[in-house]
Amino acid sequence: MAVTTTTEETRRLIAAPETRQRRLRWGNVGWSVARWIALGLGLVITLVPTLWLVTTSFKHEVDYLAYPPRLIPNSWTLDGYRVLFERNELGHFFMNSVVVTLSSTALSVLIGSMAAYGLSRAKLPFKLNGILAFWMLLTRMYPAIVTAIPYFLIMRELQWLDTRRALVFTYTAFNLPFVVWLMIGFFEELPPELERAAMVDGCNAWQRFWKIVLPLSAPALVATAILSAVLAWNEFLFAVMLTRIEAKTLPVVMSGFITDKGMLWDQMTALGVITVLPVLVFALAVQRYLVRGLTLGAVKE
Amino acid sequence: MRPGPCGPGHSEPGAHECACARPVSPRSTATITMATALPSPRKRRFSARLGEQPVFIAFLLPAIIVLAISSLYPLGRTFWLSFHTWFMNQPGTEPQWAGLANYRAALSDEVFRTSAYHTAIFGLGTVAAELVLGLGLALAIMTGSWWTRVIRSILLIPMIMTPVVVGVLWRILLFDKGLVNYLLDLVGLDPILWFVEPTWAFIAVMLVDIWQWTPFVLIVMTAAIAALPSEPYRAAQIDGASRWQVFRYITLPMLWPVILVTALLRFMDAIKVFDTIYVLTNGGPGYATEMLSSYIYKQGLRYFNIGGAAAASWLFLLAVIFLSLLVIWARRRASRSL
Repeated sequence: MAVTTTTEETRRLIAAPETRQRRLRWGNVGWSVARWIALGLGLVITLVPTLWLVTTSFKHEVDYLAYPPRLIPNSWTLDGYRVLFERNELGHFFMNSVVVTLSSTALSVLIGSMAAYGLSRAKLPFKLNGILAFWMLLTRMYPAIVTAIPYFLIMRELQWLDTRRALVFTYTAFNLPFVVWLMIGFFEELPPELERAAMVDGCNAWQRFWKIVLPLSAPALVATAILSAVLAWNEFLFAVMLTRIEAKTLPVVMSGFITDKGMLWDQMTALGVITVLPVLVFALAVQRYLVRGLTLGAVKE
Repeated sequence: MRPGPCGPGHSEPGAHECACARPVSPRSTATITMATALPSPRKRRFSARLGEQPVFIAFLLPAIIVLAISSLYPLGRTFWLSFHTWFMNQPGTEPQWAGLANYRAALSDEVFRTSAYHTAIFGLGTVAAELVLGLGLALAIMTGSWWTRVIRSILLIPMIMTPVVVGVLWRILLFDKGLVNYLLDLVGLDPILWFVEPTWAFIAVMLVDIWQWTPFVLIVMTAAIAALPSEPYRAAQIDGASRWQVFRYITLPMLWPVILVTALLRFMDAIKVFDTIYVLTNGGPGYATEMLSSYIYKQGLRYFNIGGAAAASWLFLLAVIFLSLLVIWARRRASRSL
């Protein structure tokens, strides 16, 4: 016997279980008030800093250093952006971020979904399925810093320091476990009949993967790709470690402003807006998959 | 012709941990469900003929190679380096065998111990706060109407922001004459020198982490709550249970497995903290906000004490492996409890 999960109704019941007892009416009023206060506070605490980032990038120095601080400046200016672009090869660094993010995402989604397909469809000997899956989970879990030193040495020996390919390889490897775990979940949800029919029709594993499984998982693939791209775009530790000048990505450029450029807040926040905006747009577009992605499939929505 | 799901060569029921197609018992403590719970008690999944196994191994091979190069080899090399003394900044020197000296040095290093302590406190403190706030907001947001979905999307913003940008942003907000101190002034409190006083600096980095990652708990909890079965709530409604009783005796127990998984996942990520620390305080003032990640980074890439950094890395890793096993166990429990 299965429990029916009427999502809409459950939501309403949890939010406001109706009650026949009159004395609880006041409780309902109290709950509504508490709810609104909580949501209001949440919104303010989220939005004010976010807007602060945006408006500061359009402020003159008098406004961003003014006390009392003002969210909305007296006069708006694009100087922050102009100077930022004039003094830095920002286009170059932006392209670094774009190239590294796109290449590593494409690679990790390709290699990762193949591996996920292999893991979800094959029965390997010696419990290898479980061992490989655990290894991949562990790779996602351990702090990247524990591999940082030898990583730096390897890249130095390969003379890959300060190159885009070092970062492309690194982020491909970082996102692989993430892609594998997510895609295993999606692949396991596919109806088995299709693949079985394809096999009866004489499709080999490779054809089934390319012609049946991948097209059917297209939305999941897109979501996974976007989530990996966000992770690659935001990554900082390896970017700061493996790059000096040429291959710097936007977060590294951003951190450079802290150490050597004083309080150029208009430029710093302008760079912040440029860095955050692309990922924000994409990530909000796939927020339906965020839960699943970030819990490695442990919680599904 | 369509062979049935029990045909030869297909996977055994329950061979894998995914519990998507198990029958649901009425007394379930389920919270993790799938959009389409299938009625069949058997695992409905396609699996290949035995003759095709080599092909699937070929599918796996590229990933295994990449991961071997990027994780196994560096971990092994870290292990090897941790038993050697090597200061990379002295040209021409080679790693010298040192036995357990690096481990002894790390364990007796005051800064290492402080960093480990800070990392643990940071992880526990931020995760506890994020769980409480995230669960509270998730309950408040629960109705499913369009405006709550809009609010939810807005509340997600911090989580998606580049951590370095978040660090810079809060550096501006927590500036001596910044917004936060102005607000404190408005309510009659003294301004706080956030990055000068050790305790406040630590609180500041925790607050920033909480600001950024509460949305994570929020969306996971929203998803989990939305998937709860409605029967217990109807029963509670008939029995006239109060809102608190409903939360305490129905929602909370049913959510427990998800809370556990979320807490562990969040903790594992929290203890990795590097970006925001690097930008906000760089471990300072003194060592007040030094964490294991920043400690290892400095040992290795600033003081070039490769052996010391490697030993600290392995100590950190051992702790994390232990925690990972906990996550796996909790994850399995959570999906089995369906």
